[in-house]
Amino acid sequence: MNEKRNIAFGHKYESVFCVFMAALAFLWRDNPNLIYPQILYLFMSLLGLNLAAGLTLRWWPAKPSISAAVILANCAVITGVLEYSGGPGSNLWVLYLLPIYTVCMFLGGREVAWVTGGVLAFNGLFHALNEPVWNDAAYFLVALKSALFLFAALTTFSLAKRERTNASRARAHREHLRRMEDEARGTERKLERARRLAEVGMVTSGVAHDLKNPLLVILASTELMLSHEELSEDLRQDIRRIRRSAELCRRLAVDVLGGAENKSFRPEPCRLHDIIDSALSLMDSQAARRSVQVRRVFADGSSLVSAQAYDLQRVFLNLISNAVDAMPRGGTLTLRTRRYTPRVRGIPVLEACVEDTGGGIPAGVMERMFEAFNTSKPPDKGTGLGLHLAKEIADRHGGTLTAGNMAEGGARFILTLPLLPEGERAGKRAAAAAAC
Amino acid sequence: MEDIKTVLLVDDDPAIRKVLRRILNAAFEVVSAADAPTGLEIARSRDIDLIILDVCMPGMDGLTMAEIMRDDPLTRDIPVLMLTALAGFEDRINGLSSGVDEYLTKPFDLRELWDKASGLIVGGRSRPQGSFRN
Repeated sequence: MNEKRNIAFGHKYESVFCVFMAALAFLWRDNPNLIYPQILYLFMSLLGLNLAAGLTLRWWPAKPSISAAVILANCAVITGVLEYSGGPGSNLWVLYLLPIYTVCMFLGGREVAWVTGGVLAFNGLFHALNEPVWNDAAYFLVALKSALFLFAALTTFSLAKRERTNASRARAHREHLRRMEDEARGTERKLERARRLAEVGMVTSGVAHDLKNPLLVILASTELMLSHEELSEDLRQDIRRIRRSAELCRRLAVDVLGGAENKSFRPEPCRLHDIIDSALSLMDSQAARRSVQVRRVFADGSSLVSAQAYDLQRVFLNLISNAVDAMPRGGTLTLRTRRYTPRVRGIPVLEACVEDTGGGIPAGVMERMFEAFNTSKPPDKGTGLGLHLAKEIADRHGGTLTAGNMAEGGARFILTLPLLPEGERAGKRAAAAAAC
Repeated sequence: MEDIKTVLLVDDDPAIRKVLRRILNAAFEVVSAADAPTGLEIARSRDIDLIILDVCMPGMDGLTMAEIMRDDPLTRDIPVLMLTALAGFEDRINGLSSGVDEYLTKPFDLRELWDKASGLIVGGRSRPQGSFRN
C-alpha cells in the first residue's frame, strides 16, 4: 500500500515537472534555440510516458521490465528534446537524470543498469551524430556527462535501496506491533472471561455446596422407595426418573466444585444411544409442552464409546434443551447418529447430530458459540456456560463438537466421538454400566 | 445368633440422619447424634463398631471430634468414616492420616457408603492407630 503511494507521489512530482517544462517551452517559443511546436509535443510525450510508467508500475508490479522499457522510451524522447533545443549545446541534457531518478526509486538493480546504460547510449549516440567537430572538449563533455549519470544512478539507487529497506523494516515493525496489540486484546478478553468465570464459580460453588445434603437425601430416599416391592411399575419409573435427575444434579455439583471426581477422568465403555435416550427421557416433558416432536434416527449396530456417561448426558441435555428453546412454536427435534471412518485419522467414529427446525444460529453468534458466557438467551434462561462446557467435555473425550445451520433451515450440532470396537467383554461392561 | 454391629451416626442434618439410619438399619443397629459432644458421649458410653461423622457441624466440627477420640483410650480404636461436603477437603483428611479411616464426599453413592461402612466394621481401623498430634 505504502509502496503504491510512493509510486503515485514520485510520478506526480515528475508529471508536474513535465507540465512545467511544457509551459516554459510554450512561453519561450520564440527562443531561437527551441524549435516550436515540436519541443512542446516532446514535453507532452514525456508527460504521457511518465504517466504510463506510473501505470505499468501499478498494474504489473511483478514485471519491472515493462516499466523499464517505458522509462527507456523516456530517454529516447529526452534525446529528441535535446535535438529540438539546441543540439549538443543544449542545457536540457540534465533531463536524462529524470529516468535515472525514476528507475532508481521504484525498480531493482537490473532495471537501473538497463536504464542507466540506455541513458549513456542515447547521450553518446546523440553526441556522435550531432557533434560538428570531435575534439578533446567534445570527448571531455561526453565523458563528464556519462560520469555524472553513473554517479547519479549509483548514489540515488543506493539511497533508494536504503530507504526501501528502512520502509520494509518499519512495515515489519508496525505489523509486529499490530499483532502484539491483537494478542494483548485477546489476552485481555481471556482474562475478563476468566475473571467472570471465577466470580460465577464462587457463587455457583456456594450453591452447589448447599445442594449436596438435599441431593444426598433425595438419592438415598429414592433408593429406599425403590426397595419396596409393592410399588407399581409406573411409580417405580417415576422414582427412577427423579433419581436420574438427582444423580445428574449430584454430578453437576461435583463438577462445579471441582471435586476429585471431576479432576480425574475415568472413561468407561458405554453406549451413546443409551445416553441419548436417557437425556431424551429427562427432556421429553419439556419438548411435549413446546409441541416439539422428537425423531430418533439411530445408526444400526454398535454405539460403543469410551466416555464418562454423565458428562455425555450433560452434553445432550444441553443440546436438546437449546434445540427445544429454539422452537418456541413447536417443530421437530431430530437426533441422528451415523458411523464412519474419517480419511485423515482412519479411526472409526460415531457422529451424533442434534437438529432443530428453529430459526438457526445468527452469523454473529456462530463465531463465538462455544466461548464461555456467550449466550443469545435472556439472562434468566441461560448462563452461556452450557455449550462451553459441552465443548470441553467433547475435547476431553477426544472428540469434537461443532455447530452449523442446515440448508433447509434450523441448527445442527454435531458431536463426534471415537468408536470402540464391539467386543464381547466391552459390551458386557457397557451393559453393566448402563444398569448402574 | 450373630452379633449385630452398632453404627454411630453424627450429623447435624436431621434429614441425613433419618435417611442414613433407615439404610444402615438393614444390617446394623444405628444410633445417632446431632452434634459432636453428644456423639463423643455416646461413643464413650456404648460399644460402637463404626462412627460415621460429618465434618461440618455447628460448634465442634467432625475433625475435632475425631481428634479427641484418638486421644481417648475408650474411643481410639473405633473406626471413623468421615463425610464431607467440602470440595478439596479430602486433601486435608488425607493429611491427617492417623485420625480418619475413610471418607466420602457428599453426595456419595449409597453403594459406596455401604461398602466402606461394611469394610470398616469387618476389618476394623484401616490405618495405624495414633493421634492427630503425632
